[in-house]
Amino acid sequence: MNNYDTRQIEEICKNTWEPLYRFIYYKVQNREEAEDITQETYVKSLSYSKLKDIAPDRYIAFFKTVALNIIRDRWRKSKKGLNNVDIEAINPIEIAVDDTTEIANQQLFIRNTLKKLSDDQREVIELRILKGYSVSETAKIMGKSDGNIRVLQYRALKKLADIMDKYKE
Amino acid sequence: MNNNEKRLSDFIDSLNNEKIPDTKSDSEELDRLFDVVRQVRTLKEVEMPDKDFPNRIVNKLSANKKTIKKRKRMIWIGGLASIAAVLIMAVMMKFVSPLNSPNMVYAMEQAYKEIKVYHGILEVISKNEAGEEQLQSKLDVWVDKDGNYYVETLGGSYKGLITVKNEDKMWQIFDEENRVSIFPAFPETYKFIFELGKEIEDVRNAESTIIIGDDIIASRSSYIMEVTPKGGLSYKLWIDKETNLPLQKEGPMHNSIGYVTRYTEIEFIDTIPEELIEYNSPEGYKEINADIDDFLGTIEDVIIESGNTDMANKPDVEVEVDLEIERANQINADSGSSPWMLDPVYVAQIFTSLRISPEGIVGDYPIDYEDLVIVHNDGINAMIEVNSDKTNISRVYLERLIRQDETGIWTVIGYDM
Repeated sequence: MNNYDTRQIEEICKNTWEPLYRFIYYKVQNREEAEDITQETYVKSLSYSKLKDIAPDRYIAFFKTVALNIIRDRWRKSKKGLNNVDIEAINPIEIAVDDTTEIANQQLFIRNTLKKLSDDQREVIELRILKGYSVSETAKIMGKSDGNIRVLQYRALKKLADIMDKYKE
Repeated sequence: MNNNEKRLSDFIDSLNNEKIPDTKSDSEELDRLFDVVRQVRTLKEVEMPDKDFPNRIVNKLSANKKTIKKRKRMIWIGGLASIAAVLIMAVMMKFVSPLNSPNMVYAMEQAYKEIKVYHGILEVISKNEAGEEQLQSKLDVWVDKDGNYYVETLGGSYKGLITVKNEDKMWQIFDEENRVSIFPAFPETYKFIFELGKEIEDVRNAESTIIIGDDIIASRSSYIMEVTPKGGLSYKLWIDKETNLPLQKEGPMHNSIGYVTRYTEIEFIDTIPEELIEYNSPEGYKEINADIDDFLGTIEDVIIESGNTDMANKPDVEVEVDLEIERANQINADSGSSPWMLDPVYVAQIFTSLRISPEGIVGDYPIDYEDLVIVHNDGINAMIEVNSDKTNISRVYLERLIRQDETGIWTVIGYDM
């Protein structure tokens, strides 16, 4: 780890943790993993020998890039058991800067694709994913069996995936 | 319903519960659908962590910094020969070891994350130098990750003793005496022996871990990991190859006696049965509102005491401690300030430095961090050797007086000249 004292570490964390956490949460969509990756990002970033060459106003962009690599690395590990993040391979010059516009566009895109689903399909996605109801609660609301809800949500998401792929083509 | 439909549904449930989902799959379609679920969820508000989260990050980073510093120093002292030996060992381990220990530690952490509640039969066994074993205690344990537990002593000393903790209180039922002692749930000073979460945390925070072989324990195929805690003696941990969770622990020998703790049975369930952790005053039992000092740690005390032979040495000079100040310091440390108080070496460094400059320290500390060496640390008591000609203090004695876990601050209780 670089020669940051506790006060400097506090300062860096205080100024960057929230946008970094939000960025990570956006990617992984659960608090437990977002907290883990946020911590891991700081551990890896603050040991990066060239961090001191990066201007403080660019820290957050650098941290986001490191976080993205950790997320990808975890994904790869869960699939094939590949290697760890190579922190030295991250080029601070190439890092992403602002993702607010991208997020807004993405959300608009998802809202539009949801409109292409049937009423039942859209309702099951709203209840299960956006409102966070359990399968049983959703089944009760929609007057269906638990099994039917699982099948319905699978088909709804598959259709949503197909529509998204078509749009992207 | 096919398996993928269930997997997808479980994935959605995990995200709804803000938990890490199981994403292991060999289906491209399922991977794609996991991704679509995440994308849809971006329409929701971000679930923020609790307000203490930034402090936890800073504490972790500060702790990491110190660990790295200590490791660097160990290699430097050993010189080039040690570095060469370490390199040769590392190359050998790559071929000999079935897996490397950082991966094993990660696998243990991930496995533990998947657990909600575990229920096991735990045996505590003493072992002499000839390898002869004797059952000291047999416990029935139920534990969840919110800090609730039920521990019943099924055999050995204190047979029949039941210790329970729920969100509100902690109590011990002494069957033979028809007595219930009730304790406040906080501060929590007791964690029953061989609690899986704590064991994995200890492994994660250890100075080093190494897989040294494999074995069959309680009919389970296991890896044997040697764990060297920071400033402590090495111990062995047996890790179930299938579940990646610890099954057995063997501590170092003290006075020719060592202790083995072993889960002979373990199951993973969703909740602790309500009737076990709900307080109901047992009919005909006397209820006592007890002080935390009356808490009976039973077999754990025996083991901790056996590991504390060095601490039997009293310091030459005892330092008077104001517990009110220490409690205030603990609150400060809990809120993230003064994280150095969680490191016995730093506490000893400041103590010895202030003895030299009682009016305060300006600039560098007169005693360097590198001048101090941990000679004993069992998590509750620590002894630090001082190797500096700038002070006549040769040894500093510290204790975690307020809380006896890794979040507890260290206090100097004495020193040798």
